[in-house]
Amino acid sequence: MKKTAQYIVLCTLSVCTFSCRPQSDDLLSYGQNDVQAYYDANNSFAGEFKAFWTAMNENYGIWDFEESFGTDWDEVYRTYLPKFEALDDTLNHKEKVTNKELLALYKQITDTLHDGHMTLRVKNLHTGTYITLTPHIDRVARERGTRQTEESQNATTLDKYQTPDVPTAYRALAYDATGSDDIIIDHLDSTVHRVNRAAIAYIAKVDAAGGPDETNDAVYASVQALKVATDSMMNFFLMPRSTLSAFVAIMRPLFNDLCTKYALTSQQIGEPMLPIEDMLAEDMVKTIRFALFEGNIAYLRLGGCGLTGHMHPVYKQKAIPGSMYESYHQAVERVWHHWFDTIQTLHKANNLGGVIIDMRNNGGGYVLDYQYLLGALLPSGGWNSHQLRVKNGIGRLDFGPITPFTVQTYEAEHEVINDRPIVVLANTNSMSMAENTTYGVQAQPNGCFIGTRTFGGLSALNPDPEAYSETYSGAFGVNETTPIWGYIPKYVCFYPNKNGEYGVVEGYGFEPDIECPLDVNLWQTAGRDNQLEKALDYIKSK
Amino acid sequence: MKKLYLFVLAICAMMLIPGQAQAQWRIGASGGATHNWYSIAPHYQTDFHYGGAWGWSAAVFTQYNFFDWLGLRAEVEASERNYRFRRSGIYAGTNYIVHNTYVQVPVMAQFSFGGQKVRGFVHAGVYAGYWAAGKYKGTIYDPMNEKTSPVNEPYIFQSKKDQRADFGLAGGLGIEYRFLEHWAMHVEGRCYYSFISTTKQYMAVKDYRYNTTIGVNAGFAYIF
Repeated sequence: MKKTAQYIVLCTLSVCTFSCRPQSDDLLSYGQNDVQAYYDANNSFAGEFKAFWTAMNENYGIWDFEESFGTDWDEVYRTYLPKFEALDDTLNHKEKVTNKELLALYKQITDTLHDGHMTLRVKNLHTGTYITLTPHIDRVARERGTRQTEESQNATTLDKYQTPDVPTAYRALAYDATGSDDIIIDHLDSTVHRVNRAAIAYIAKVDAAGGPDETNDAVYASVQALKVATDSMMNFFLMPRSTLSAFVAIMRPLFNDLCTKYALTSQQIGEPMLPIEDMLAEDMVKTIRFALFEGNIAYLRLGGCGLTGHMHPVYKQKAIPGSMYESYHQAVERVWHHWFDTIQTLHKANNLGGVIIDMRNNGGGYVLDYQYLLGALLPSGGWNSHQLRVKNGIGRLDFGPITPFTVQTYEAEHEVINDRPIVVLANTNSMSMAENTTYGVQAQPNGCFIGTRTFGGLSALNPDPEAYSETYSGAFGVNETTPIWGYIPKYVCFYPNKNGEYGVVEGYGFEPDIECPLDVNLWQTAGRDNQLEKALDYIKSK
Repeated sequence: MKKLYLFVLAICAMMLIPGQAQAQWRIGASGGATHNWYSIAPHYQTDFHYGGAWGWSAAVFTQYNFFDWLGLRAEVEASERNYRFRRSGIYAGTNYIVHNTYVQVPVMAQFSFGGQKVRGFVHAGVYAGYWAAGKYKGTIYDPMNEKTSPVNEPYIFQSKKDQRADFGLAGGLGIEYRFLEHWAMHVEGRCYYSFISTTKQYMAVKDYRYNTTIGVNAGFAYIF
């Protein structure tokens, strides 16, 4: 009996001891389309908000930075949950929830966040459509006023610098360029005209022979329809265009539909139509321009940091032999080599004036592009650019160690440009990898950043839901599938300030060494680019 | 925290007043190894693996014996409560030990038994501690550059998240050998069972993490 009592006391003590450790809540992953996790979100606005709140709570990598601006994510929950519950209350909220109403609520929440890439898509459960939030773009537009739109709408070209209209000191001595949109438009334009002419010729030939008979009446009808379709497409080319890429975005699907629909007909009239390949249309570089300016200043401009897709051996293999994309690969490489080889030749001859890397209106891209840009001017073996941190655990403030991040530099033998100025041109629309490059140039003893403050979207991304578990961040949900989808930072970057102290510049960007806003009037009236001219003057002054 | 400092000071003062030492007093020092487990719910992060890791401990102690079988022991101890973090899958190169140094004060009753020279003992009590420092040491995989790099970085405390104060049960089982009239040596197995989560409950979502540490230590004591 005594022994039994002792056991009971011992067991009770053990239970009491172990129950002194409260246990964690059970959490589900919102990373992918998990039926259980998204069940409530598919059925109520409050459930949708809870999924968004929790996914952000667990996956967003800069909560410590956000808290330094006073954001209290728990308070967001307490404040907004009743508002979303009110949307579900069909007794008091009898009208259908509009997209505008839903957008306004989510905008209030996300407007305070600083991630420079964040995109959020939320399904309106009443209309079945998605609203899209881009707080990073909204913030920059709000904080920088008209500068952002002015800079994006006035993307300068080098056209005038190849003519005697500019002073000799700014003249381009050599020039080379290519661009995917240009190639697409050229292909589209020439194909449509070619097919149209062939259709007219076929119709005329059949008409001259007394009209179609039972052997060719089906083909004749189809060719007539093809002629009408190509006539209508040719009219599009005469219409005014806002931007080339917007025009491509409209024309390409129309053209590809035409190619599919009339594949046989176009072959029958001897002018097969090749559709525009996805890889070409989705190219990240968009444009690459090289120029050698007076004073032996080598200039390179990229529309986007997609050189890796064209020059890295792993990516190069993906181009189908004989495709338009393959010939574009070659063109991009040719222009880049024009720039790189010019630098090599001039530097070896001790005759290089300087280098300009133009990152203006560049939305970023591959980190591996470093080796083809600034990395092509630095010693081989990589360069310790900045520091990285990843999310590491489900807690809002769970982070991994902060580790140095080494960017790749050009591996093959090359000239190291440490004795001549390197200038980077960047502006409000220079984002992500374009900003990393800007910082890299600025950090070199011979580097200088001219232009306006960059966008402030430094943290690297992981938009692929399949790769969610790499860091349990980068994205949550599946676009157009789960009721919420978020595109958020995967790696948080820390950069040193002038005192060598590392910090996050997300949502702010880098300040130029020489502030020089674009003179829109000079560009629009004379086709001249005062930022480029400032860079040329700076290099010549050194 | 202030109370903890005062307590530590009081214990140190007790050990530094030899004039008050009676025959039943003893002071000593010990050192050894610890092995810690970190209890954390990885939830859906199934490729996160938290394992035990070895560390060290060093302590000075004082003890007052009320009877030959019952004494009260207090220590000031610095010890590591480390754990290993490892990932499988694409991040498999990430494998590091999180080194956590605690300063703690266990206060335990000692029940002893046996002869004059060799005696066994059992410790039972509580401890209060403070998480003084942290460090990551090991390797980390970077999928962007597809390489594994060494990591040896300090753990950066976040006052909002990290619970640096600690409290829990302390217990041990050991054997003592009195090799001279005033000198004894011992070997002991020790366990610390924390009741305090290493993270504060700073989120609406509850998330608790605990340390459980066992250790082996050896030391000596001067008996007044």
